[in-house]
Amino acid sequence: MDWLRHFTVALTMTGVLASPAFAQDRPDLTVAVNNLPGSLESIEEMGNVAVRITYSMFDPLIRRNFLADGSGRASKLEPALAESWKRIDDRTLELKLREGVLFHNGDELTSDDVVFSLNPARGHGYNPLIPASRDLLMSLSHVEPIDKYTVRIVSKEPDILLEQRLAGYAMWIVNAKHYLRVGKDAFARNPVGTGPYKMDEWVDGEYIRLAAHDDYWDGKPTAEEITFTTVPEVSARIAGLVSGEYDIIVNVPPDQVEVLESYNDVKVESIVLDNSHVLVFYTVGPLEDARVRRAMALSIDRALLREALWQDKNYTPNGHQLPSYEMWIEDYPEFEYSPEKARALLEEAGYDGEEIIYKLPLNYYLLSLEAAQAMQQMWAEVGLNVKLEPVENWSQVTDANSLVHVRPWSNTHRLPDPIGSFVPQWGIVGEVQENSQDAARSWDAPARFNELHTVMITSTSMAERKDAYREALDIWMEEAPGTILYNPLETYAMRAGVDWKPYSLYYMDFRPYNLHFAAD
Amino acid sequence: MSVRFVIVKLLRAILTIWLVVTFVFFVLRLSGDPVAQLLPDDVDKQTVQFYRELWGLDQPVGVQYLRYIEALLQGDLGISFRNNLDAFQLVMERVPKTALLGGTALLFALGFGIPLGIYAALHRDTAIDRAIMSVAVFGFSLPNFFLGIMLILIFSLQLRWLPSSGSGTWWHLLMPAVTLGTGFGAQIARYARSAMIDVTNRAYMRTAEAKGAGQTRKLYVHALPNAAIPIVTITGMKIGELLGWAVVTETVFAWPGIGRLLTSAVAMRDLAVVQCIMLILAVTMVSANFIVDLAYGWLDPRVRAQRQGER
Repeated sequence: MDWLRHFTVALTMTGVLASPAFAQDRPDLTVAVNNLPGSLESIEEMGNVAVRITYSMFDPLIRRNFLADGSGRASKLEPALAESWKRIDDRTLELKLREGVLFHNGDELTSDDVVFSLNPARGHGYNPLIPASRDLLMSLSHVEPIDKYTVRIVSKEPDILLEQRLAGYAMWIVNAKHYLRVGKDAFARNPVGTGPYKMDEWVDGEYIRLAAHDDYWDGKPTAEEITFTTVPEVSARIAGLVSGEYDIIVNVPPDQVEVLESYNDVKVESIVLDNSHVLVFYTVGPLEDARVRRAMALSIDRALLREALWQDKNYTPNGHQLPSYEMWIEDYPEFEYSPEKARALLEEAGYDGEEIIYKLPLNYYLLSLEAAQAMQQMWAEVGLNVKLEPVENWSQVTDANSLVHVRPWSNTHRLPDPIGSFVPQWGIVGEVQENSQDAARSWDAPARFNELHTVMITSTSMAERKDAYREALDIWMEEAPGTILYNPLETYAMRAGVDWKPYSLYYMDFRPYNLHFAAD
Repeated sequence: MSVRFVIVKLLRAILTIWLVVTFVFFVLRLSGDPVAQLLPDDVDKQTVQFYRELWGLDQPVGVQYLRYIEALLQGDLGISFRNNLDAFQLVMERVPKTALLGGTALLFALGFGIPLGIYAALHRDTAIDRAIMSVAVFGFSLPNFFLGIMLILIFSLQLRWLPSSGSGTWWHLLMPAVTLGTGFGAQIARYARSAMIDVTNRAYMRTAEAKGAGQTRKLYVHALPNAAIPIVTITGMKIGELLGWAVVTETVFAWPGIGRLLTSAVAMRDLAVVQCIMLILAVTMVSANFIVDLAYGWLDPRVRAQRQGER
């Protein structure tokens, strides 16, 4: 009875305020999603299910402009809650807050909110309230309030990426006073931020409805309400979009794109994610020899995988990096496909056809089983005897008591810098170098590799960091503790009248500049 | 109804529930790590360890089990890992939706299953009987996820008559209830037919005919009450199955009942929620069977007499 509710609301408003201008003049937006989060606390859930909603409820101090080049993948920094900032020293950044920014409950944003949002006891101290985003916040030391609208953010070590970090995951500003008053659990259900949409109604397992925050500092929101409604079955999402129940649907499998495009009133928007599907080669059994690992990587025809599975709409980056990185090594060589070289390496290593076990969890990564089946053939062609073992979940993949040589993985590039992915995932603190299930599976990285990582973490010279990065990438390719397949594609479909662009992270940005409706 | 009968049945019910709870507890813990399912795949190890300790998963399974049973006996069903809410409350919020869907599906199934079965029995070995039974076999063999998706394609996508998913209005209930009820109704039709055929061959039916009872009286007074026993039995047994099938139907139609909660909770290894749902399902099934047992006595004087004899 949606129409009835709106009708009643509109009627009440016109009655009370005696002004027809208050009747609803903006459309509602319904987004059919695969699942809803358990919490809307801004640092508690960082998965796609949560951030696609929380991105509309909170703002960062500094914003990453994904649309700077129109691609949805750009990483240009722009003022958000902070209108300007300057470096005090290599550990300290002073930010001037925008004045007059109002939270959903009408409170004005002050330096108190920044101090509270980024304080260690909340997210990254020794025993924080919410540890889920600890690794993203870890580099911060503390925040000093200078005056009502000025703060200094101090990092533990010299940090050349502090501005980028502030524009990244988990750095959103919450309303300190409200948070302290209601407590974490209540906040997680009914958060108060400065974003363009605020909580309206959350019906567990059905929908989360947000309402426009008309005092939003960056313009009046273009939709009256946004409802994220859960529709786990992809065919039901598609049917609902076509029949007009939903305006946008998420997680469209690539093979449905053609079907959807055949409808005139529906359009499809795809974006290559800042995420790489990778394989991890455990350095055990036949893969103890780096030459065999390199042969595994060399015998994968990535172009064919992209064409067959992703309609050639995605790409494989050149090395473990993205073009949006500030220190993107543009001339770094592409991942090579060379069955001849692979065969030669296998011969040199004396590989005798010993079975290599590739375990993968079903329904975790989009198209991972299809890719695995194709790669099994590619590996077989150079003489690699790989056996696929699809299992239900991660514990079965990493189980210390069973044999496994290869596993799939994904690396999200959380910052446009190797610090956002390559360093934490493949470096000395990561699972690859220190396997928690079975120490034998840990990659014994050359000391030089980890030295280079230290340079990338501590150096404040981009040029020095870039040289270290290139050398570390060379070692990674040579040692091949894993390899990259491609960056996956996320596909959204929407009504033709909805003008909205997806981003390369799972955020759905419904700010006024990125959501418009054409008159139907 | 003897007291002993009730006590034995009750003890058996408690044993069944305990076995289910224990089995679910161990299978869940042996088959997957909740931390790995709930956190992103590239999260750091310290965070994983923090959550493992927070949720008590760093303890040996035996210790976890004793703690679980202890809490259970105090009526504490635990907290959902996923959203920190009380698991029992979370599940109970979903129960009315599943009850509504299951109840409607059941009414739909009985409403078309019993009349069709009786009609087929009364027209035994005719073309109509064969047609009804063919439809019944077809309906029973149709997997309900397939039927559900076909209904969505026809009524939402092509005709645009019905909403494809959700539970906002009565219209939303239609397709899920038909999906869930069809297979069950087909089974009921088959049981009703064979029960009626069985009954019409009995001596008392000939007696009734001999004393001059009309067709209507024969059907409603003599045949139906006797045919009701197997139909009630099968209905009781199938209520549990209906709940099981609801898992699939609720997922297809995004119906926010406990079935869908169960699938997402199992996938995320949200242990407290899965355990809570399984406990509730076990209690429901055991109770349904218990009620069927009691209903026998009411429907069949012979069973009643026999039970009184046991006293």
